[in-house]
Amino acid sequence: MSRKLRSKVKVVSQDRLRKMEVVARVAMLELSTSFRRHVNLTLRDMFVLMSAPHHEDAVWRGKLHELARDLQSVGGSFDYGLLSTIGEVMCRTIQDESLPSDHLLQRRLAAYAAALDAIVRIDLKGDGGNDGQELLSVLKITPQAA
Amino acid sequence: MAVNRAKAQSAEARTSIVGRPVGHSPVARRTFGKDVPALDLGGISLLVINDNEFVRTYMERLFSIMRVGSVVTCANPRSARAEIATVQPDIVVIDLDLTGIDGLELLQDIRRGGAGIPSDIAILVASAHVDRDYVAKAREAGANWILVKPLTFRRLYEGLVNVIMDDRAFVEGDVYVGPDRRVLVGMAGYDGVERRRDPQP
Repeated sequence: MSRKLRSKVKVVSQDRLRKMEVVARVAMLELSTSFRRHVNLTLRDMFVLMSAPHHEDAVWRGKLHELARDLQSVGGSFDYGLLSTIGEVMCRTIQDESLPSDHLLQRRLAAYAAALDAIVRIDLKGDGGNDGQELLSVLKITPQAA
Repeated sequence: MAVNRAKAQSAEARTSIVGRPVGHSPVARRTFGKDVPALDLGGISLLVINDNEFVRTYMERLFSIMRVGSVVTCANPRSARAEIATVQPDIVVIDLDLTGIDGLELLQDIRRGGAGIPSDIAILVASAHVDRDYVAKAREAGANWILVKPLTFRRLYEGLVNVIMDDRAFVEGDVYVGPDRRVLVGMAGYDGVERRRDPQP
Protein backbone atom coordinates (compact mmCIF):
# COMPACT_ATOMS: atom_id res chain seq x y z
CA MET A 1 0.00 0.00 0.00
CA SER A 2 2.34 2.72 1.22
CA ARG A 3 5.25 1.52 -0.92
CA LYS A 4 3.20 2.19 -4.02
CA LEU A 5 2.13 5.56 -2.65
CA ARG A 6 5.65 6.51 -1.63
CA SER A 7 6.85 5.81 -5.15
CA LYS A 8 4.47 8.52 -6.37
CA VAL A 9 5.91 11.27 -4.21
CA LYS A 10 9.34 12.72 -3.74
CA VAL A 11 10.81 14.68 -0.89
CA VAL A 12 11.35 18.33 -1.71
CA SER A 13 12.88 21.18 0.27
CA GLN A 14 11.18 22.50 3.40
CA ASP A 15 11.20 25.91 1.72
CA ARG A 16 8.50 24.69 -0.64
CA LEU A 17 6.32 23.63 2.27
CA ARG A 18 6.86 26.97 4.00
CA LYS A 19 5.85 28.81 0.82
CA MET A 20 2.72 26.69 0.57
CA GLU A 21 1.88 27.55 4.17
CA VAL A 22 2.19 31.27 3.41
CA VAL A 23 -0.15 30.88 0.41
CA ALA A 24 -2.50 28.83 2.60
CA ARG A 25 -2.62 31.57 5.26
CA VAL A 26 -3.75 34.10 2.65
CA ALA A 27 -6.28 31.61 1.28
CA MET A 28 -7.60 30.96 4.79
CA LEU A 29 -8.29 34.66 5.23
CA GLU A 30 -10.33 34.68 2.03
CA LEU A 31 -12.04 31.47 2.95
CA SER A 32 -12.91 32.72 6.43
CA THR A 33 -14.67 35.69 4.80
CA SER A 34 -16.61 33.26 2.57
CA PHE A 35 -17.31 31.13 5.62
CA ARG A 36 -18.89 34.03 7.51
CA ARG A 37 -20.94 35.00 4.49
CA HIS A 38 -22.09 31.40 4.03
CA VAL A 39 -23.02 30.99 7.70
CA ASN A 40 -24.85 34.33 7.79
CA LEU A 41 -26.91 33.36 4.74
CA THR A 42 -27.70 29.96 6.26
CA LEU A 43 -28.78 31.59 9.52
CA ARG A 44 -30.89 34.11 7.64
CA ASP A 45 -32.68 31.26 5.82
CA MET A 46 -33.09 29.46 9.14
CA PHE A 47 -34.75 32.48 10.78
CA VAL A 48 -37.02 32.97 7.79
CA LEU A 49 -38.21 29.38 8.25
CA MET A 50 -38.48 29.71 12.02
CA SER A 51 -40.52 32.90 11.72
CA ALA A 52 -43.42 30.85 10.34
CA PRO A 53 -43.03 27.46 11.99
CA HIS A 54 -44.82 24.42 10.65
CA HIS A 55 -43.53 21.71 12.94
CA GLU A 56 -46.04 19.23 11.57
CA ASP A 57 -44.90 19.80 7.97
CA ALA A 58 -42.28 17.27 6.84
CA VAL A 59 -41.09 19.59 4.06
CA TRP A 60 -40.59 22.46 6.53
CA ARG A 61 -38.71 20.13 8.88
CA GLY A 62 -36.62 18.82 5.98
CA LYS A 63 -35.53 22.33 4.99
CA LEU A 64 -34.71 23.25 8.56
CA HIS A 65 -32.75 20.02 8.99
CA GLU A 66 -30.73 20.79 5.89
CA LEU A 67 -29.77 24.21 7.26
CA ALA A 68 -28.91 22.89 10.73
CA ARG A 69 -26.91 20.09 9.17
CA ASP A 70 -25.01 22.60 7.05
CA LEU A 71 -24.05 24.63 10.13
CA GLN A 72 -23.05 21.45 11.92
CA SER A 73 -20.80 20.48 9.05
CA VAL A 74 -19.10 23.81 8.34
CA GLY A 75 -18.81 24.60 12.05
CA GLY A 76 -16.79 21.47 12.72
CA SER A 77 -14.50 22.10 9.76
CA PHE A 78 -13.80 25.75 10.60
CA ASP A 79 -13.11 25.60 14.31
CA TYR A 80 -16.58 26.61 15.41
CA GLY A 81 -17.13 23.50 17.50
CA LEU A 82 -20.20 24.97 19.20
CA LEU A 83 -21.93 25.46 15.84
CA SER A 84 -21.25 21.80 15.19
CA THR A 85 -22.42 20.63 18.62
CA ILE A 86 -25.63 22.67 18.68
CA GLY A 87 -26.28 22.02 14.98
CA GLU A 88 -26.12 18.29 15.64
CA VAL A 89 -28.51 18.48 18.59
CA MET A 90 -30.82 20.65 16.51
CA CYS A 91 -30.79 18.04 13.71
CA ARG A 92 -31.79 15.35 16.21
CA THR A 93 -34.56 17.53 17.63
CA ILE A 94 -35.96 18.19 14.15
CA GLN A 95 -36.02 14.45 13.51
CA ASP A 96 -37.80 13.77 16.80
CA GLU A 97 -41.24 12.40 15.95
CA SER A 98 -42.85 14.17 18.87
CA LEU A 99 -41.76 17.63 17.67
CA PRO A 100 -45.13 18.52 16.05
CA SER A 101 -46.94 18.10 19.38
CA ASP A 102 -44.22 18.80 21.94
CA HIS A 103 -44.10 22.51 22.77
CA LEU A 104 -40.98 22.14 24.88
CA LEU A 105 -39.10 20.68 21.91
CA GLN A 106 -40.40 23.47 19.71
CA ARG A 107 -39.13 26.10 22.18
CA ARG A 108 -35.80 24.32 22.32
CA LEU A 109 -35.56 24.45 18.56
CA ALA A 110 -35.99 28.23 18.66
CA ALA A 111 -33.39 28.46 21.43
CA TYR A 112 -30.89 26.44 19.38
CA ALA A 113 -31.34 28.76 16.40
CA ALA A 114 -30.82 31.81 18.62
CA ALA A 115 -27.71 30.19 20.12
CA LEU A 116 -26.25 29.46 16.67
CA ASP A 117 -26.77 33.10 15.74
CA ALA A 118 -25.15 34.29 18.98
CA ILE A 119 -22.09 32.08 18.41
CA VAL A 120 -21.48 33.70 15.04
CA ARG A 121 -22.19 37.23 16.26
CA ILE A 122 -19.74 37.06 19.16
CA ASP A 123 -17.32 34.86 17.19
CA LEU A 124 -17.23 32.07 19.76
CA LYS A 125 -14.61 29.75 18.33
CA GLY A 126 -13.62 26.23 19.37
CA ASP A 127 -15.52 25.01 22.43
CA GLY A 128 -16.05 28.62 23.51
CA GLY A 129 -14.30 28.14 26.86
CA ASN A 130 -16.38 29.19 29.88
CA ASP A 131 -18.88 31.08 27.70
CA GLY A 132 -19.35 27.97 25.59
CA GLN A 133 -19.91 25.79 28.65
CA GLU A 134 -22.41 28.27 30.02
CA LEU A 135 -24.25 28.38 26.71
CA LEU A 136 -24.47 24.60 26.50
CA SER A 137 -25.58 24.46 30.10
CA VAL A 138 -28.41 26.97 29.45
CA LEU A 139 -29.47 24.86 26.48
CA LYS A 140 -29.23 21.72 28.63
CA ILE A 141 -26.74 20.17 26.23
CA THR A 142 -23.91 18.08 27.52
CA PRO A 143 -20.94 17.80 25.13
CA GLN A 144 -21.12 14.00 25.41
CA ALA A 145 -24.75 14.07 24.28
CA ALA A 146 -23.79 15.91 21.10
CA MET B 1 -6.78 -18.49 30.95
CA ALA B 2 -5.81 -21.36 28.65
CA VAL B 3 -9.17 -21.11 26.93
CA ASN B 4 -8.73 -17.37 26.47
CA ARG B 5 -5.27 -17.87 25.07
CA ALA B 6 -6.56 -20.48 22.62
CA LYS B 7 -9.26 -18.07 21.50
CA ALA B 8 -6.74 -15.29 21.06
CA GLN B 9 -4.36 -17.54 19.15
CA SER B 10 -7.20 -18.80 17.00
CA ALA B 11 -8.19 -15.23 16.15
CA GLU B 12 -4.58 -14.37 15.32
CA ALA B 13 -4.16 -17.53 13.26
CA ARG B 14 -6.92 -16.37 10.94
CA THR B 15 -5.04 -13.17 10.40
CA SER B 16 -2.57 -13.01 7.55
CA ILE B 17 -0.14 -10.15 7.47
CA VAL B 18 0.68 -9.12 3.94
CA GLY B 19 4.37 -8.55 3.40
CA ARG B 20 5.47 -10.02 6.70
CA PRO B 21 5.27 -13.59 8.04
CA VAL B 22 2.64 -14.09 10.73
CA GLY B 23 4.11 -13.80 14.20
CA HIS B 24 6.74 -11.21 13.37
CA SER B 25 6.73 -8.12 15.50
CA PRO B 26 4.92 -5.14 14.09
CA VAL B 27 6.82 -2.00 13.27
CA ALA B 28 6.50 1.18 15.23
CA ARG B 29 4.16 3.64 13.61
CA ARG B 30 6.03 6.65 12.40
CA THR B 31 4.49 10.02 13.05
CA PHE B 32 6.13 13.29 12.18
CA GLY B 33 4.75 16.06 14.34
CA LYS B 34 6.52 19.32 13.55
CA ASP B 35 9.13 17.54 11.42
CA VAL B 36 6.69 16.60 8.71
CA PRO B 37 8.62 16.12 5.45
CA ALA B 38 7.90 18.33 2.45
CA LEU B 39 6.57 16.15 -0.35
CA ASP B 40 5.82 16.74 -4.00
CA LEU B 41 2.24 15.43 -4.17
CA GLY B 42 1.86 15.94 -7.91
CA GLY B 43 1.58 12.19 -8.54
CA ILE B 44 -1.17 11.58 -5.99
CA SER B 45 -4.88 11.38 -6.75
CA LEU B 46 -7.52 11.97 -4.10
CA LEU B 47 -11.20 11.30 -3.80
CA VAL B 48 -12.88 13.50 -1.19
CA ILE B 49 -16.24 12.28 0.09
CA ASN B 50 -18.05 15.09 1.85
CA ASP B 51 -21.70 16.04 1.63
CA ASN B 52 -21.15 19.73 2.32
CA GLU B 53 -20.45 21.86 -0.73
CA PHE B 54 -18.70 24.60 1.18
CA VAL B 55 -16.35 22.16 2.93
CA ARG B 56 -15.61 20.39 -0.36
CA THR B 57 -14.65 23.69 -1.99
CA TYR B 58 -12.52 24.57 1.01
CA MET B 59 -10.69 21.24 0.93
CA GLU B 60 -10.19 21.44 -2.84
CA ARG B 61 -8.59 24.87 -2.38
CA LEU B 62 -6.20 23.60 0.28
CA PHE B 63 -5.29 20.50 -1.74
CA SER B 64 -4.62 22.70 -4.74
CA ILE B 65 -2.21 24.79 -2.65
CA MET B 66 -0.50 21.52 -1.71
CA ARG B 67 -0.30 20.83 -5.46
CA VAL B 68 -1.96 17.45 -5.17
CA GLY B 69 -2.04 15.87 -8.66
CA SER B 70 -5.75 15.27 -8.92
CA VAL B 71 -8.69 15.85 -6.60
CA VAL B 72 -12.17 14.50 -7.32
CA THR B 73 -14.97 15.30 -4.91
CA CYS B 74 -18.06 13.26 -4.24
CA ALA B 75 -21.07 15.05 -2.80
CA ASN B 76 -23.37 12.13 -2.37
CA PRO B 77 -22.12 9.53 0.08
CA ARG B 78 -24.68 7.06 -1.28
CA SER B 79 -23.03 7.12 -4.71
CA ALA B 80 -19.54 7.11 -3.23
CA ARG B 81 -18.95 3.42 -3.94
CA ALA B 82 -19.55 3.88 -7.67
CA GLU B 83 -17.43 7.03 -7.69
CA ILE B 84 -14.55 5.28 -5.95
CA ALA B 85 -14.64 2.43 -8.49
CA THR B 86 -14.59 4.91 -11.38
CA VAL B 87 -11.93 7.27 -10.08
CA GLN B 88 -9.59 4.61 -8.62
CA PRO B 89 -7.88 7.16 -6.39
CA ASP B 90 -4.65 6.68 -4.44
CA ILE B 91 -6.18 8.03 -1.25
CA VAL B 92 -9.82 8.31 -0.17
CA VAL B 93 -10.67 11.14 2.23
CA ILE B 94 -13.90 10.37 4.06
CA ASP B 95 -15.79 12.68 6.33
CA LEU B 96 -17.16 10.45 9.05
CA ASP B 97 -19.89 12.95 9.89
CA LEU B 98 -21.81 12.27 6.71
CA THR B 99 -25.55 12.59 6.59
CA GLY B 100 -27.79 9.74 5.50
CA ILE B 101 -25.02 7.17 5.61
CA ASP B 102 -22.61 6.07 8.26
CA GLY B 103 -19.06 7.04 7.26
CA LEU B 104 -17.77 4.12 9.30
CA GLU B 105 -19.95 1.76 7.30
CA LEU B 106 -18.52 3.10 4.05
CA LEU B 107 -15.02 2.72 5.44
CA GLN B 108 -15.68 -0.90 6.43
CA ASP B 109 -17.23 -1.58 3.05
CA ILE B 110 -14.07 -0.40 1.28
CA ARG B 111 -11.93 -2.56 3.54
CA ARG B 112 -14.10 -5.61 2.85
CA GLY B 113 -13.62 -5.10 -0.88
CA GLY B 114 -17.15 -3.89 -1.53
CA ALA B 115 -16.23 -0.66 -3.30
CA GLY B 116 -14.59 -1.93 -6.49
CA ILE B 117 -11.08 -0.86 -5.50
CA PRO B 118 -8.28 -2.70 -3.72
CA SER B 119 -9.27 -3.07 -0.08
CA ASP B 120 -5.83 -1.86 1.00
CA ILE B 121 -6.33 1.62 -0.45
CA ALA B 122 -5.11 4.41 1.82
CA ILE B 123 -7.95 6.02 3.76
CA LEU B 124 -7.78 9.32 5.60
CA VAL B 125 -10.82 10.09 7.70
CA ALA B 126 -11.91 13.45 9.08
CA SER B 127 -14.26 13.85 11.99
CA ALA B 128 -15.46 16.54 14.34
CA HIS B 129 -15.86 13.87 17.01
CA VAL B 130 -12.87 13.90 19.28
CA ASP B 131 -13.95 11.35 21.87
CA ARG B 132 -11.78 8.29 22.26
CA ASP B 133 -14.57 5.83 21.47
CA TYR B 134 -15.27 7.39 18.11
CA VAL B 135 -11.60 7.54 17.16
CA ALA B 136 -11.24 3.91 18.29
CA LYS B 137 -14.17 2.91 16.07
CA ALA B 138 -12.57 4.59 13.04
CA ARG B 139 -9.32 2.82 13.80
CA GLU B 140 -11.10 -0.52 14.17
CA ALA B 141 -12.86 0.09 10.86
CA GLY B 142 -9.43 0.25 9.19
CA ALA B 143 -8.63 3.95 8.77
CA ASN B 144 -4.98 4.77 8.07
CA TRP B 145 -5.14 8.15 9.73
CA ILE B 146 -7.80 10.03 11.64
CA LEU B 147 -7.93 13.75 11.25
CA VAL B 148 -9.73 15.65 13.98
CA LYS B 149 -11.40 18.82 12.78
CA PRO B 150 -11.05 21.77 12.37
CA LEU B 151 -9.47 21.22 8.97
CA THR B 152 -6.45 23.48 8.75
CA PHE B 153 -3.83 23.42 6.00
CA ARG B 154 -1.28 21.92 8.37
CA ARG B 155 -3.60 19.19 9.67
CA LEU B 156 -4.68 18.16 6.20
CA TYR B 157 -1.11 18.14 4.95
CA GLU B 158 0.17 16.13 7.91
CA GLY B 159 -2.73 13.72 7.48
CA LEU B 160 -1.81 13.12 3.84
CA VAL B 161 1.88 12.71 4.62
CA ASN B 162 1.16 10.31 7.46
CA VAL B 163 -1.03 8.20 5.18
CA ILE B 164 1.56 8.21 2.38
CA MET B 165 4.46 7.36 4.67
CA ASP B 166 2.48 4.79 6.66
CA ASP B 167 4.73 1.75 6.50
CA ARG B 168 2.61 -0.60 8.56
CA ALA B 169 1.70 -3.95 7.09
CA PHE B 170 -1.83 -4.47 5.84
CA VAL B 171 -3.80 -7.04 7.79
CA GLU B 172 -6.67 -9.03 6.30
CA GLY B 173 -8.56 -11.12 8.82
CA ASP B 174 -12.08 -12.25 9.62
CA VAL B 175 -12.62 -9.57 12.20
CA TYR B 176 -10.33 -6.80 11.02
CA VAL B 177 -9.06 -5.50 7.70
CA GLY B 178 -6.74 -2.55 7.67
CA PRO B 179 -3.30 -1.32 8.64
CA ASP B 180 -1.61 -3.31 11.39
CA ARG B 181 -2.75 -1.77 14.66
CA ARG B 182 -0.01 -3.30 16.78
CA VAL B 183 2.57 -0.60 17.40
CA LEU B 184 4.52 -1.82 20.39
CA VAL B 185 8.05 -2.01 19.01
CA GLY B 186 10.34 0.47 20.67
CA MET B 187 7.92 1.38 23.42
CA ALA B 188 9.69 1.01 26.78
CA GLY B 189 12.12 -1.40 25.16
CA TYR B 190 9.40 -3.97 24.60
CA ASP B 191 9.49 -5.74 21.24
CA GLY B 192 6.14 -7.52 21.45
CA VAL B 193 7.54 -11.08 21.48
CA GLU B 194 5.69 -12.06 24.68
CA ARG B 195 2.62 -10.05 23.88
CA ARG B 196 0.13 -12.87 23.49
CA ARG B 197 1.55 -15.25 26.07
CA ASP B 198 0.22 -15.74 29.58
CA PRO B 199 2.15 -13.97 32.31
CA GLN B 200 4.47 -16.16 34.39
CA PRO B 201 2.92 -17.38 37.66
